[in-house]
Amino acid sequence: MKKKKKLYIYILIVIALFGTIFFLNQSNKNELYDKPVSDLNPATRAILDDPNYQNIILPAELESKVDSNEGSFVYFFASDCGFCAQTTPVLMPLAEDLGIDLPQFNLREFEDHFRKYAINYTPTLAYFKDGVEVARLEGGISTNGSSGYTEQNYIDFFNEHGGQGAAAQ
Amino acid sequence: MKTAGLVKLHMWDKLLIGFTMIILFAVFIAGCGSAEESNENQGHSHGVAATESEQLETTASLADMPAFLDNHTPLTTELYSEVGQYMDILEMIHCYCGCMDDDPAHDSLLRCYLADVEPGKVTWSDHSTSCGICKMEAEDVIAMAKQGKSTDEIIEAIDAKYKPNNM
Repeated sequence: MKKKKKLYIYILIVIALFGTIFFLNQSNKNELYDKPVSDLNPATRAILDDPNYQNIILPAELESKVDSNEGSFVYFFASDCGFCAQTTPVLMPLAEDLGIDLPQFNLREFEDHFRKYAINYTPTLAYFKDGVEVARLEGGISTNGSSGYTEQNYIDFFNEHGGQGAAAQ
Repeated sequence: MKTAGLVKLHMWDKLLIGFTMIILFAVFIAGCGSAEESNENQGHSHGVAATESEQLETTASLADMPAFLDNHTPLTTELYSEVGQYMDILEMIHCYCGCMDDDPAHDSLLRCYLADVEPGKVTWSDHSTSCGICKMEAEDVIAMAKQGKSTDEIIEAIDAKYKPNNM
């Protein structure tokens, strides 16, 4: 009887421990990136809850966006890139105002995609249709007279390549 | 005898439960700790220093390119292969990507490419691979140096193009 009781206690402890480990693993895995938080670059960890970086796509989604016959914009950025940190808070609200869905691809987490999509400079805003890159803007926004694009450059780019994807606006 | 047996069992119970509690508590605290840490970082999304987010790789010489370049475009690889020849100018250039405002900071544009150069041991930084400004600046610097411009002229041109007015 006593032995049985002890056995139950052992079993309970083992279950509790495994349960805790499982729970912690689940809670540690980031939904946006589908990776454990500990595997993310520190700069990516810092923007996980930033409202300007919530439209993250992963490699498989990126491929489907590129291949889409409706056309899609993609914002290639890197979480550790200063030029991107200046550009994103301007660009995301701008796209939203125009009714454009702007998926964000964090190259710092998927570095082989620099070469795959021939990204020379972060950030790069590109427009894809039927698996072909139609156009891109390389680099970020100009701040206080520094080299870069204006908001109007981005608006023009969105309008020019809006196609069917932006027809809803 | 019976009482003694019960006491013994209780002791085991207590030990085991206590032990489990300690482990659960430790794990819980560790979990909360890392959550807090990530929350802290969010306060200043610019706050992650380039020295924390970059990855370093060593090779034997400036002619041996780091393996991380396999992930990058020919333009990026070309830049990395050229910075070694223009180190004296690049270390005079301010990088306007923000990395020089960090703590600890990069000390020049050169640091975005090369962390350390010693005989037989070159330490590369991959910071510039994901830094549009770092590449644009270095491209301009190298192009101007090839035209024979002086270091002062290059510094002036880079500041005029990339330096925000409020800096």
